[in-house]
Amino acid sequence: MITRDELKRIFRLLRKHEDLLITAYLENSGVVDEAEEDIRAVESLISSRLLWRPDDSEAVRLTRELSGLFERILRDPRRLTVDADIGGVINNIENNINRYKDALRSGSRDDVNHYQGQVERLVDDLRCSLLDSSGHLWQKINSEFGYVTSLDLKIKENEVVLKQAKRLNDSLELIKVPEMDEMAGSDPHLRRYLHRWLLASVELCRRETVDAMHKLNELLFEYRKQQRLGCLIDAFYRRYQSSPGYIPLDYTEMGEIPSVFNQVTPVSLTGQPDIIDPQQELVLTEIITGLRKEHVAIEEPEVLELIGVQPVEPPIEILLSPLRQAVENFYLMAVDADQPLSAVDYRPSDDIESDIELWLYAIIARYNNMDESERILFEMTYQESTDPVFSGRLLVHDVSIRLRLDGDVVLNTRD
Amino acid sequence: MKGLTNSDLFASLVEKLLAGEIICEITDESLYRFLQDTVHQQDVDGFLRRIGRVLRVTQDGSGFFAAYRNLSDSSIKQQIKRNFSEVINDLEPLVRWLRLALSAEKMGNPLQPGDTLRGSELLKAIENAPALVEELDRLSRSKLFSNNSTGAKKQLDAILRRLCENGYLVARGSSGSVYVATGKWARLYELLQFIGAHEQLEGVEDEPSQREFLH
Repeated sequence: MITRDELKRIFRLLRKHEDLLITAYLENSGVVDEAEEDIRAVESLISSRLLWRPDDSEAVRLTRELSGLFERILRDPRRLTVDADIGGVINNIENNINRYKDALRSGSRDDVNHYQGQVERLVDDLRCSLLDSSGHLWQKINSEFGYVTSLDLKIKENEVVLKQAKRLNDSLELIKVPEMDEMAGSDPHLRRYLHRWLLASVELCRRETVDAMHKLNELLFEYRKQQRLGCLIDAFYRRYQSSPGYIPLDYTEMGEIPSVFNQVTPVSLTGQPDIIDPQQELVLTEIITGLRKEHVAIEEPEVLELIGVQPVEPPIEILLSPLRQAVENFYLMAVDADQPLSAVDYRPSDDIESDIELWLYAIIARYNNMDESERILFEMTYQESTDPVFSGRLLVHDVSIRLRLDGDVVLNTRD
Repeated sequence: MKGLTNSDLFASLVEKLLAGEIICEITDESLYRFLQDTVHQQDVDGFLRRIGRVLRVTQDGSGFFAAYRNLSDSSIKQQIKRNFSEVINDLEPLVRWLRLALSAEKMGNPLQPGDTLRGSELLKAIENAPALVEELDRLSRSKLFSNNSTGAKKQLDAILRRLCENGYLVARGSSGSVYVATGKWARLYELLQFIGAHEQLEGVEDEPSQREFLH
């Protein structure tokens, strides 16, 4: 019988030499670097069967039991293996069930209890082993074989695990529902062990194993694709190294161009702005605002020489352009009129200005260019309407000018 | 691209395809997702067919691009020929770059669409191997990656920038040293695969290259 003190001694040893054991497990594949460690500590661990030396010429290493404990508890993906000897365990369970039934028939209570306990332990072991096995597969998959660095080794590891998964899946076929039914019969204990414990675990394990095989195949496909690409790049690199200036054949010279080279050459797609579409006006305005960067040169007026003018000479008559003259005449008419004059009504003949818009601009410009003393004499009124699309924009149809009477308030008005 | 209608996505997609771009999840996530719907694929393909093009996808499904529907026209042949010679001229520096990145990557995984490339890690690996520093210098003198920078860091930055300009990488993050590989690599690998198999380069197996829609 193992005593409590013996167990405590083992725990104390593990605690005392934890660094030695951890270093051996994690960094040296289970081997103890004796040069770095206290010889008495190593001897003590050997005598407690936590370390062992296979041969005098070989290094001390962790015992299988200790490293197995770490692997199993910590689910170390580097070391896990899948236990697929299910057939053997099933045979063992079957033998114990037969002896259990014999004991029941002979009425030996102690033997019944013994074999019932054996069956319970074996089924529980198998159940745990199955769940562990599928769990181990997923541990390796989730690590994406990160414990090896090269692509070739990842592929090899993947292939090994895929074989284990297939073997596990095949082994699960050995546990058949009708056979379990037959073995359990109507015995409530056996039904509990074989149905509720074992078959439920088998089903779960089967699902996880099939999913694992699917995932492993996916990973393997991806790794092989990467491997092929690596080989492809290497092959070209070697060719460029061995044949400087290497140029592949011109495949476009072939009778039929291989489809792999078929890709369109860029086509430039452009369009003209639609300047008569009012909906684009705002955007176009934004685009052109500030586009003109150069400054318009302002001509400095030439300094004129003073010319002596004889007072007897008649004043020089400045000839105005026909349009300016027409504008002047319009304002003179407004002075004489006793009501506002419409610029549209008094538009000049077409040979002076045919565009009504320019005529209106000319009338407005003349008004704006007047000296303050002159402008105060006139009142200008716009006849306008709101743009149907842009509510903030006003369209001017006509302007009226009238002579301001004494006492009028000086401001421009809009209708 | 949030808030764009299907009609906006369609227009943007067609423009990019006709501009010779490869639409992948990295360069244009919303356009790539739009094309994941087979109805949209058929729409775009149908439109392209009416103007003498077709929609194609790289074999790994990472990138969509436009190809000519009929290659018998002599002007189209000329355009493909021009395209081909451009690609062939860039092939050696691109292969050397891939090999450099592969050697610097301890896992030995070739760069694939969606892979993240960290400039700082790459630089560290290159600086630890004199042969890779030499190769980087050699690449900096190639026409594609031509730069006057000296020192591994500046040369590497210049090369990564050029790969971004040419649509092979997309810079991510604010630090400017993290990049993601685009679907353009998948197209390059298809060309390498074809040429390698036809010129019987050692270690290259034959395999189909790409899929076409709606036949």
